[in-house]
Amino acid sequence: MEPKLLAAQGPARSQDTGARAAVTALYQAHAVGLIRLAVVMLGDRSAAEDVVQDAFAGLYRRWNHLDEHRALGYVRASVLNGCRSRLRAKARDERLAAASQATAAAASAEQAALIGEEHAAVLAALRRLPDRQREALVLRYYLGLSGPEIAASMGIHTGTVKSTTSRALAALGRLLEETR
Amino acid sequence: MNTLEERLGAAARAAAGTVADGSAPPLVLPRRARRLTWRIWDGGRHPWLVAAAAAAAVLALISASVFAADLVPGARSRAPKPAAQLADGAPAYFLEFPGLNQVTAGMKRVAPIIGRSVTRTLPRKPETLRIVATATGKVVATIKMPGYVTAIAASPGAFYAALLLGGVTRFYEIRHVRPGVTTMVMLPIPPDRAQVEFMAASPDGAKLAFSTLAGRGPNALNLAVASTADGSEREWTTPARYSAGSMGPMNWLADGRTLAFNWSGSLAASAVISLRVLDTEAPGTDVMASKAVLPSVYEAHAFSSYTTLSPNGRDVVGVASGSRVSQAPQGSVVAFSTATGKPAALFRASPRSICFGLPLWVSNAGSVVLAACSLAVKPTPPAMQGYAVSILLIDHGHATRLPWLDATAEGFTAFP
Repeated sequence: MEPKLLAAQGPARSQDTGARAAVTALYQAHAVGLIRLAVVMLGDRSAAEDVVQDAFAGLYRRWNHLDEHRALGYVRASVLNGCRSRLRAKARDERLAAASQATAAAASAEQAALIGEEHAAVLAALRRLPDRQREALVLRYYLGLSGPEIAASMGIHTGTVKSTTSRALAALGRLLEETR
Repeated sequence: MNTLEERLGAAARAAAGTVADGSAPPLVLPRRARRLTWRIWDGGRHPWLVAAAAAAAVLALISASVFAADLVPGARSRAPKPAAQLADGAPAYFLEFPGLNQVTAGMKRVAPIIGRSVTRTLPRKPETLRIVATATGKVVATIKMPGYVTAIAASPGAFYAALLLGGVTRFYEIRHVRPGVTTMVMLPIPPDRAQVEFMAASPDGAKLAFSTLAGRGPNALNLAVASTADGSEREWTTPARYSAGSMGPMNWLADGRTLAFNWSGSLAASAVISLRVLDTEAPGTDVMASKAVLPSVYEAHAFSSYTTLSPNGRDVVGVASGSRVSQAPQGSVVAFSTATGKPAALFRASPRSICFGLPLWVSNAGSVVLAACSLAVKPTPPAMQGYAVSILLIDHGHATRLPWLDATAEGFTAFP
């Protein structure tokens, strides 16, 4: 007899359908907001969309192991992780390839044209901050999250949020002074 | 513009404003959300693997990044198969990456195992891992990986592999659920372009610690700890003045927060290997903020290779480089008390039996060890120079050879 593959059946299949529907609904409600968050972090629309897609794919894979009510927090943390990874890879690439300087300059010019020189300068300085500082600032001053919410998203203690944010603002100010 | 906070908020909103409402692309989800268990069935009589079916299953499931490994029933037999009386606490199964050591004419089985992971040239084809029963040597699962394995690790409940695929490292969790059923799932740890060199899983499987071959940040980043549940990471970098050093094999202590890692090169001029412990829940991002364990013992070159800190943190276990410090012949397996610095020989080497490399597994109290050793054999096969490498179970000073694991001595392994 020819062998055949047996997949999970019955309840497993309905669980799968339920997860798909739930994740899709969450995506429809929050995708644009999360893409915007990733754009602020990355300055690149295409990369931002990829990060958000990956985050929701991860959420889907882990759906049966998660508390449904914490799904948005999970996916937001995944987006932050994804942005961190992208920025690291980008920094490496830019260090390695001299030609990428031209690419980065072109991207920067394009962004400046879209959002204005002043905003572009602030965002460029923001992206030069260490991961944790950059994320704390964006969560606080863009998303307007509270200290506990920022702590949950970043996986740090609430008490650390205030000091991180304070240091990040100081560092951002210094970077902006340098580029004047 | 007003305050810095207002400038930042305005800039962020301006950037976000470039994304119009309703402009998100369609969501593309992988085919499966759950960890799947696929079985090969031949009508209900025998669970058989048919190569083509398995390959098709693996290919289909790789595309979803969540798939079950194909299984090889009737696993290859390795030498005699006594049901070994293993020491209490000895792991029932381990993950093996076979055949890594260099085998050259006249030098067969003498290349050293340097740890639970090795630096090597990547092969041309994706690779295969095996789950092996410690007590019999039986291969209970063969897992064809969708890329190049660069490091493996184990916790009591699961095995882990770092995989390089398309220039990006991803992490997988492998579970041997029951005979004939093995599952594998990609973990949500952010993919990275750096190659993972050494890796260790926390006792509860909640965290993976790994070191990377190349730096990953402004400083040379050497170490990260990632949650296997949500992929969140914490990272430690190495200050520039230590950039000549490098990470070695690592293991978690039983508390699930302290990581012991080998470090080559330090402030000392000589490139001595040392062992350091890092509290992964303490603040800070400096690898060298970790504490050196028994620094005087290491600076006296007591060990011939990497070492392991017993999970209870009380003993450093390794292979002696000579009797001057360890009071046991070269090739002996020794344990140094972290409290007193005094050595105890767990296995005394002789001209006919010399151990080498990093212990493959150390029990919680450090008194039971699995180690790779060169043993004199008769008659002498010409290609073996009179020695064969085997695995010894060293239990409170009594050593037992596990001949059914001879082949394992040529690969590298991850024991829970």
